Parts: sequence; structure tokens; C-alpha cells
Amino acid sequence: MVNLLKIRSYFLLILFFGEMSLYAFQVTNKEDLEKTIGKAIAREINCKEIKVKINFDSNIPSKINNLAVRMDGVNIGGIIADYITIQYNNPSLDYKNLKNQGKLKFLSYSDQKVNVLLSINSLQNYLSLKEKEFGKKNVNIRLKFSPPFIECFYDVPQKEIASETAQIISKFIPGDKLEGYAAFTLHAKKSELSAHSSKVILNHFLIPGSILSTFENKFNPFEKISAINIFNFEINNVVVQSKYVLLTN
Amino acid sequence: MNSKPKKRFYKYLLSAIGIILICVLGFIAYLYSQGGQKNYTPPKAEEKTNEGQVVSDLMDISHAIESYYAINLSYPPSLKNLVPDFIGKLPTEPLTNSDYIYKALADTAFEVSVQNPQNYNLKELRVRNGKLIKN
Repeated sequence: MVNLLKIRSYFLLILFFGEMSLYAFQVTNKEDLEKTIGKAIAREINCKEIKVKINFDSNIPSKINNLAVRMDGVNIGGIIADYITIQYNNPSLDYKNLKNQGKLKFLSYSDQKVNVLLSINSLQNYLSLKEKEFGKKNVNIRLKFSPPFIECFYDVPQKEIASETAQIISKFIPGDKLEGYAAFTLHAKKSELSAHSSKVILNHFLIPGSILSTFENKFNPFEKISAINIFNFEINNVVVQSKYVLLTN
Repeated sequence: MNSKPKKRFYKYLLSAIGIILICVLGFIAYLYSQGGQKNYTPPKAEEKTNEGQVVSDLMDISHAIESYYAINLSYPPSLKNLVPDFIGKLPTEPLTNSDYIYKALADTAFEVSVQNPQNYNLKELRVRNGKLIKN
């Protein structure tokens, strides 16, 4: 009787490990694994397209050296990012969870690199959405990337800006509209975005730095980048390039 | 008897007010002269030392490579592929005017370096996977 029980437990053990190795075998095929991961991400994240690229270790075929995921058109707290690419070095995946529940879970990884690209269009759309959200009309703002600055050409009716701000501005500059130019840099800390102006011209007047700093303190940080549920990350660097703003962790 | 010092006081007060007024008007005139559409240009970048310029160039190229990777999921075959989408113009070394060296190491790493770090009194001056190595 005892022997029979022993045989049965050995049999169950063999079956369990057999099933596990079958999972591993089924999903270690590169293309299949990339597709499975892509589908798992698509279930959780709303975006235009997902691309997954896996590099296996040349010496240990089942070991993933590098896993990169690119997601196009992802909403990160109000801004639609053109591309978000996340790279993992030496990731260990929960294959059972991936196979059974179609969910991507990282058990461990040695390094994570996040690159978020925002184009002019993406930032212009963000501004348009904000204008609609706050019911602003006839606001004309045009952006241009001039590394390391973002240039902003604006023409805004004074009635469309916050009354508190309008009161301060009207003390210095009369007129029923605000027209001018700003060159500013972007900064990120713990995923909070702040803008710091280096030069502002308003209705033909260069605005002194002391006045600018009072406004900056009121407005900043102006946006919080939200992490995507599967991929936990924090944005801490911003680089302005010729066609994109690059946000990195 | 007191009229003379009083007069002198008013004289000083008036001249002080006049100077302050001139300063304020001068400042307003300066702010006005710096405004206008002809001044819609970004501030000029601060001048850097040769080494500072190289570090800045290496980091700019490195960020451009990372952006290229973010879209293509592979590193660029050459630095020329970064122009114009990720970098306006490829910088060259300020001392020798030579191109920076770029290597894509396998599919998961890259390195950008100067031709000869000894030109900057250094043993190593390069950026590997976004991290500056300078010693």
C-alpha cells in the first residue's frame, strides 16, 4: 500500500514537471513568444500597435538576454506618446501565467530602460485637449523644437487666461490679448513634468526672470506621466531633439 | 534761517527721483527693445570648454541613438541614419574636427567615443549604453 502511494506520487511529480517543461518548450520559440507577449500586452494596454523583440542567449537557448517592447500611441496621463519602448535585460518571465492567463509578469530583470517619444503633433494635440477641457477659445499656440529648447509662439485673448494670472499681467502690460514668444526647457522628476522658461516676450516686452519665476512656481509641475500597469517606471530625464522629445527613466 | 537746508533737501530729493525715473524708463526701454518678433529666437547656448563640448556631443548622439532604437528596435547601422529625425547635424570633435566613433555592440548595446581621449588628457572618454565613461 505504501509502495503504491509512493509510485503514485512519483507519477504525479513526473507529470507535473513534464507539463512545466512542455510549457517552456511551447513558448520558448522566439516568434511564438513574441506574439504571446504582444497579445498579453494588448489585453492590458490600449494602443495602436505593439511590437515585441526578443534576443535569446547564444549559449543558453532558453535564456532571454534582452526583451524590448514598443507600443505606439499610448496615453500617458493626458499626453499620447508616439512611441514607448521598454527594454529589459536578463528578464525572467512567469511563463505559466503567460500561457494560462495570458498575462505578462516579470519575475525579475537586471536592468530596465524606458524611452518615450513625443512629437510636435503629440504635444499640439495635448494642448488642444487642454484648451477643450478648460473651455478656452481662440487660443493659438504653435510649438517648435529647437534643442535644447521648445519654442512657443502664442496669441491668446486675455479673457481666456485664469483671472488671477490676468490680474498680475494687466498690472504690467495693458491690452486685450497676449501675444508673444517663449523658449523653455522641460524637466522631469519622479514622472512629474515641469517647464522652465529661459526667455519670454509678451506684447513686445521681454519679461524679467523674477516675474517669470513667480508664474513658474504656480504652474509647475504641469503634468504627471502615468506608468502603464504592466510596466512600472518613473520618468526622470527629458531631452529635446529635432523631431521628438525623449523622456527616459 | 532754515530755508537753505530745506531747499537743498528738496533739490537732492528731486534729483534722486529723477535718477530713479530715468533708471525705470531705461529698464522699460531695454525690455521693449528686447521684445518684438525679430527677437523671437531661443537664448544663445553658453560657451563650453573643449572637453565640456565633447561630453555634450557624446550625450546628444547617445540620446539620438536611443530614440532611433525606440522606433526601430535596433541600433542604427551608422550615425548618418540619425540625421535629420533625431539630431539636426552630426557634431565633430571640437579639437580635431574629426567624426565621433560609433559601434553597435550586438543587438543590445552601443558605444560612442572620441578618436583619441589623450587629446583631452583622459584615458577613456566614451558613452556606453547611455552612460558616460570618463577617466
